[in-house]
Amino acid sequence: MKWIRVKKDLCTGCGTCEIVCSSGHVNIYNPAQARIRVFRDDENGISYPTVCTQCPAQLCIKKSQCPVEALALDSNGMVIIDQDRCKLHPECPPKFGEKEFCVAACPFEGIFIDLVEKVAIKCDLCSGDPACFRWCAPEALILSKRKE
Amino acid sequence: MKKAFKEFPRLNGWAGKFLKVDLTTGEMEAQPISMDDMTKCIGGSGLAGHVLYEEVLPEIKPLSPENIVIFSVGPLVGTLAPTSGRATLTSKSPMTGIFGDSSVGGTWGSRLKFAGWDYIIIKGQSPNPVYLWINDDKVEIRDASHLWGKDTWTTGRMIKSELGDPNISVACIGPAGENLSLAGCVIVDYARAWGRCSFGAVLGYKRLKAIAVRGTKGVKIAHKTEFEQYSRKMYERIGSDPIYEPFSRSGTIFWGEAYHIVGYESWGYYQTRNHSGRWSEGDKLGTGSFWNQVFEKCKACFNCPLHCGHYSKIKEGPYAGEKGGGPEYNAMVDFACYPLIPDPKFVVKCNNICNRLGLGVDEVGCAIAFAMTLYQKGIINKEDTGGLEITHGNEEVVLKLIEDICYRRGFGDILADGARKASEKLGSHTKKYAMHIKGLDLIGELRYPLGYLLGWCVSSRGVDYLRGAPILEPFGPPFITFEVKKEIGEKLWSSANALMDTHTNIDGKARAVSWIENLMAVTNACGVCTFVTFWGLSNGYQMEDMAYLLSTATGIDFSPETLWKIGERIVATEKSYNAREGIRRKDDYPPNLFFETPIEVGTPPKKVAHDRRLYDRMLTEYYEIRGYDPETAIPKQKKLKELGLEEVAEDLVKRGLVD
Repeated sequence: MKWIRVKKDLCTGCGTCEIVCSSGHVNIYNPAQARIRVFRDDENGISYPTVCTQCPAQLCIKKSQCPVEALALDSNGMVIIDQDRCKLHPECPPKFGEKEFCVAACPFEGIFIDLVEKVAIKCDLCSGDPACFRWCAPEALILSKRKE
Repeated sequence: MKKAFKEFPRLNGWAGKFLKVDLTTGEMEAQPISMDDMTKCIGGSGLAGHVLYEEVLPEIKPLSPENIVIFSVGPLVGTLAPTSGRATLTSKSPMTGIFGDSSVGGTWGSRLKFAGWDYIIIKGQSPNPVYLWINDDKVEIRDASHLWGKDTWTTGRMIKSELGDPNISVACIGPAGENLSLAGCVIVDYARAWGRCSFGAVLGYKRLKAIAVRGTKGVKIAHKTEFEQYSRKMYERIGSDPIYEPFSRSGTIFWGEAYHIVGYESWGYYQTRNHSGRWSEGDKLGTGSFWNQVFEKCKACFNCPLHCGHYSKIKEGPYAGEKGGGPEYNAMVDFACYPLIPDPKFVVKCNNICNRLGLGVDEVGCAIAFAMTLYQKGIINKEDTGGLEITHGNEEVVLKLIEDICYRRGFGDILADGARKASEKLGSHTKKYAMHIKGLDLIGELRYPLGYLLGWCVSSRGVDYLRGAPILEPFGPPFITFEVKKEIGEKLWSSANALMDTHTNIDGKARAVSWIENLMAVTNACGVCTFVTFWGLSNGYQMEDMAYLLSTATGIDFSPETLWKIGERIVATEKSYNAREGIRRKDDYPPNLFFETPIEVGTPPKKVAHDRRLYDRMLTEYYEIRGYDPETAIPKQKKLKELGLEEVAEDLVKRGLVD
């Protein structure tokens, strides 16, 4: 399976990946709706994106206690989120201020909340041609292939 | 004071609304933007210039509740157009007393747009320290008593922590602005700055410590497919530019090498010792030295493929462990070339202190350079300086003066007002060593290319290379060949000489400068970065590109011709503003030194200074091209009306400034 590998050292923190992602999925430039997000700590010169690694462990499904079972596998074996089911179930997140079940379950910080639609989202590899990878000028994003 | 504003209809490109804040009363108000205004001046810095003209009249002092500050972003900010992260701060500058604006990168501007605002107008003076918290449509004026006195890094950290979101972008002032030091600037994202024009002092006077922004609403555009295809084309054009590789690697520090290679002589461009010439140790300041000694990583502003910024860390020596964003070329000039300390580590040290205290590196560097000249020449002595030996190469004294300028202590109190005002206090015999144009301190050696000189001198905010100065003029092979420079000159300004770096032939120079000024005005109004326009890259954004992107983003047709007109309109508004403040032709001249005192350049070295008569002719030609009166430098009534600036024309007529 393909996956997006991040070379943290090369990230310049520009955030182009975020807006090209939200544009591809919801036709708007909005990091708060992106399926790849850049962590920035400008004081310490740190910036890197986190994104779903399409990991074989699939802890988001296995460990998360999603009350509506919104996470499932598609025909290629990739984890997808059924947004209609999700719609941030009233019991998710479990407590105010806590992380949502699936967000908390992912050790790679690859699941995010779309702050406009109030729904969990994750990378779907743009049908195999990820826009973030094509637009990453410092080449901090690498499109890799993992042996099954 | 807390308020949640309702949404106005969302527009394409623009967010659709602006915010008015009165700090005296705590009142806040949101209004829809006027499409008439936007089609007339695009938005961003273009719009802000018009607002300043209408609201801040000559009788209003820069440090007064009546002066306003305008934070603005253009319609391309937040979009996929490469480098779409610029935000402008506009106000009457306390340093110069005239039109002032400054542009910043980082993420702040994009966040303001994502929060749903095109611009913010702030007036008044708060009775106690406050900061503004913009969380999408919710705006709050919050107490900042606990932040007052804190440096910008601590302030940023504390605000993010109390608002509970590390992704908030914070623009804030440090102790410099609070103490009304005119070297005070506004720091964004810890290491970016609205550096020039002393806006730190303006915010300090208003007791506005910071503006924190969180935006989750995004920016929509009209014609996505066309817009993104063209953005991709620009992305590739920028990436394939011959200057891209060295510029993206070493940022503005590379400029020194570009000048170097063009043959200006070994690092002679570095305006050492307050512009008194050549320095044999400049080659210790090449990009290699910076990478070996301090640079850790490349950093970018929002959506910028050029990533010319850096994060630095000092690995050894007395300042080991010091780390922070930057430095840029200007900081290198200010803290290495001026004080003759050829050490990238010292540059990083000073740059960090300035960022933390909220000081503009140019304001500080130029003031110290001025003091060093006076001290070396024996014009001032230890009695004047409170015991400080302000000698070249003295690191300790530079570090001491930076702090004293910030806190207005001792001799630093005099330097905190900039070289012009300091020379007024120190006596008329010091005036000729105060290097400034229109009161803004000068960083930049102007004794080589003529177009470059003109661009710096006619800039509306005081001396500035980011308006009309053709930076490609002093560049040369291997980054740009002389053949290409001649071709560009021939094509754009009908003169093969226009970009050539002669200092004896003015042909094409004034045309190039006014052309670039118009392009820069539109660039800043749109909200993309000047560095990737034709100003900095031969493949960069031109007006046609801006027109296509602006039209497809907003859905409103902007032709290149319309944009040329808008550029002219923005420049004319700023110049009219200055005319109303008393700026005339005499203020568009460089310090006499550049005519009277030659310096050695080139290999073999020859002595060069500018010919005043030649400059006179070039300046007159510039005014004629612009439609300004060559005697007064004031835009003519006919020109203002032709540009649709009837109200400005009437105002200037009423004041007896134009016929």
